[in-house]
Amino acid sequence: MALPKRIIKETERLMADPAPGISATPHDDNLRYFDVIIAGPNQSPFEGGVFKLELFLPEDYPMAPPKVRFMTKIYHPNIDKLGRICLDILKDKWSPALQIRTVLLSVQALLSSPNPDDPLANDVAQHWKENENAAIQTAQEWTRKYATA
Amino acid sequence: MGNTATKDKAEHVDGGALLPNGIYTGPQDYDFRIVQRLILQRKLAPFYKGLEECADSEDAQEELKEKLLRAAATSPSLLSSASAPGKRPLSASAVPSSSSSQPHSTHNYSESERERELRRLYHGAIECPICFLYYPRNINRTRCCDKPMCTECFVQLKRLESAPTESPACPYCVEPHFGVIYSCTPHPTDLHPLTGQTQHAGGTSMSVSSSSNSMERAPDQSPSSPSSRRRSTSHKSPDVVAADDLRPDWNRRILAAAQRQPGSRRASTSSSVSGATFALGRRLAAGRSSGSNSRRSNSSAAAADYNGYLAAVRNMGTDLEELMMMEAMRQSLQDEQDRINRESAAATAAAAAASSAQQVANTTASPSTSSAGAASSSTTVSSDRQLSSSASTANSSTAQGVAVMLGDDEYDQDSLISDDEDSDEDTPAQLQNRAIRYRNIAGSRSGQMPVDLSPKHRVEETANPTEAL
Repeated sequence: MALPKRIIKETERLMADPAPGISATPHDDNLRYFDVIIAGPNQSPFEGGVFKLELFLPEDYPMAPPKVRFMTKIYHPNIDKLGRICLDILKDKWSPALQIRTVLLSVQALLSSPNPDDPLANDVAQHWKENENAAIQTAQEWTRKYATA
Repeated sequence: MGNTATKDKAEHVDGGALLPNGIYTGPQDYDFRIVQRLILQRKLAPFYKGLEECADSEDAQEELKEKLLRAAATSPSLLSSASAPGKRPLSASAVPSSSSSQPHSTHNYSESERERELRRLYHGAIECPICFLYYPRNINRTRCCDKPMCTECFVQLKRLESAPTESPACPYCVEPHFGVIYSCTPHPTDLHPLTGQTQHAGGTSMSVSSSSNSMERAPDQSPSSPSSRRRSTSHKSPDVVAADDLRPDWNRRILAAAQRQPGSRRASTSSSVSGATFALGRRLAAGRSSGSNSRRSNSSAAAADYNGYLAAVRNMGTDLEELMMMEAMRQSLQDEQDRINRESAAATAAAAAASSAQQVANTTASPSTSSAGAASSSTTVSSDRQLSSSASTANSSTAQGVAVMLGDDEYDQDSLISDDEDSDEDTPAQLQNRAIRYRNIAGSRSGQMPVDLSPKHRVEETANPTEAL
């Protein structure tokens, strides 16, 4: 089946004008499947880390949200062991006016501001709420351990 | 008016088609007849061909020329004049930018003329932010934030399965009650008799009242020039086409979702319920205005509305009393109808002894105080008892009852068509007032009121166990 024009154009624009700290490259054999790299934002526990993600555009994209998952292990209250992300725009708050670029910018922003009140990884969120400093320290350790290229 | 002319003209409006171009390939669940009617009424932009590049660039000029002209040559559905020698140059009415000096002329447009028209139509083309294709500047605008959206993308937007009680939100500004407005470019040909004819032709095949609406509306719409930029428009405005309008059964989905997860959405706010209530009034009005749609579709839409309303009320988990009251009202109304039905049947018993109750009701309804609609509703009820497992069938009887209840007391198929603006204004409060008015009627029958209102009993309750004739 032919790739929708929107996906082609979005990919072209993404390549021509990438968002800072973010890269997304489609697979040659599946142009709906992207390898994504997000740099850990400055002044976050993930600073200095390089996080790999996968992004897949389902058949009904852009009417349905892309599927995004962390491949790199990360200690974050809104990202679980399997790399799944708790982010409203990836679920019920998705809008077809959003794009790959805006989704990845939102994921990047989530790294800067973890939200333990809406957790996906309960133990991490608990840790974050009870002792934020210690949790941040763990996140930094994990970043060094798993997310350094 | 000739059939062929009607058919040809009905295929485009303002230089665009009535059928989508296939950008979205998945299964489509919108009602394409409604969409076509809205396009013919110029309430929704036609399905313009989307260009990959901006029409002002050289490449796009070429693309436009090749694509559109080739398509026009092979299929009459894009620009009909190309492949129809001897027929009228339909693009005169179809393309708004066409010259008005000779709209009636019967000569064929030359290649260059058509090209020029298309170029003018697509001049300064804008990109639809959803599909990234370029369209004429006059495509739909969102009612809330005045952003462009092509019709092909618009028809994709609907309620989320995960949140069926919430009206679709604007994809750009997240404002609820998403809807768009179409203003075809102001141009003399808009007021051309041919155009009116086109609308009428389309209208009669779809709906009697809507065609007259569209004739009245066309002059109103054209003065809204693109220069005077529109601010946000209320979702109640008659110019707004809501995403919900394209799926008359959206409320059935609410019901389905409610039954799937009973009680789990108790926390939902009252706003969603009042929204559903309001929508009930609106949908009933819409059902009225689309008069010549068959009675069946009217009633099933209304049934779904009622169900949506009930589901919303149930979801809220608050007003069980009101729900019971409504049910009692419905039953008493139905009893009343049955009584009238029996009377009218008895009056003509000799003539119609063997015929079905419905026929009886229809032939003798005029002198009786009750309407044909009411009579047929009660016959549905009796037959529904056998079909109580099929929710949709059983509910159609409910709908008739409710429609009668919500509408005017003297309510028949004709008034259905004529007073369409009336219940558009129905607010939840008004509905409630009406409900209260009927409480007294209901009171005398309260012995029959159902006690258990859980969803699985719904169907049996709505199929009122009235005695057949």
